[in-house]
Amino acid sequence: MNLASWLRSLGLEQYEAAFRENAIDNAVLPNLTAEDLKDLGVGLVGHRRKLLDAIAALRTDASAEATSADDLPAIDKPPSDVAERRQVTVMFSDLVGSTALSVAMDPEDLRDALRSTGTTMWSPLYLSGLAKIYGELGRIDDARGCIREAITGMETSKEIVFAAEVHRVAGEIALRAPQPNRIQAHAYFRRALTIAREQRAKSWELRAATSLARLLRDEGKRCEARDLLAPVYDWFTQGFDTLDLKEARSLLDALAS
Amino acid sequence: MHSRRDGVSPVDRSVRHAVYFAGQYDRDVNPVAGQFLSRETPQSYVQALRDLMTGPR
Repeated sequence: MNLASWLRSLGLEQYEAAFRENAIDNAVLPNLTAEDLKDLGVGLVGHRRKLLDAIAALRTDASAEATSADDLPAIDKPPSDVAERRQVTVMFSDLVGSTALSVAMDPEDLRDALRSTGTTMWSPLYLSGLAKIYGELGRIDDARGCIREAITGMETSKEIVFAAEVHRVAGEIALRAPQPNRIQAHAYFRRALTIAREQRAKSWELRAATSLARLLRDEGKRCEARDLLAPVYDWFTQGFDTLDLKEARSLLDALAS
Repeated sequence: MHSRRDGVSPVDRSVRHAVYFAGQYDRDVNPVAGQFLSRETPQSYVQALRDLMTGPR
């Protein structure tokens, strides 16, 4: 991992020189503490909090990579660019009236209808939605299948705009399994947060933060849950009648009581 | 409509998109929202659409 890029992705590139001068490398970074950050000259509490969250995500990413092959698919990253020249044929296709059809049709039938057009666009989002439904119905294997297909699809199409949401739903599925896997859920939620922040996708960040805050609350870490969710919620200045913001507000109220 | 803070499709990418439109075209850059304008600033998004539809042609 490139430390300078990592700091830039957090909007904290001003600390790059301090990190470099103090020999902070990829081996040391995951073990930095709040005290270390103070020693590095990170004076603002908000900056320390942001760095500590990102460092925690690095640690959980590392632990997620160590999960067994029987678990949900490994968390991926966008592939690196490789120069290549190929002759390609591009076909644009779409399903007319898909929004109306999504109301009228069974989700599985809609998925098949979309597949029949040959389109892959938005498939990761549809599949994550279907995985969520399967999860709520207790059909965990089907839910996992959808997540696998979504991740494979993103690797093929490079359509990464829904990657955060796919990982968040994967975390929810991990919690709904007959034997809930909290460690894996943590890893998926943290990965979703990291992706959302890298992509500056505040709507996905809110969902990921809400899911993780709910998990932290269930583990008795109410303060940590509130500290995670509140700043994400506070970023929003409109849309407070939408479901995601209502759920986040409701959770924050419960955490404050 | 494009967000200045879009982390997937940088805002500069849409600067020259006008050439692809034969009819009325307007480019609106949201200074605040991230990747999904309609989710992150829904009121601004709707207002921008309304302004476009009711504006001069």
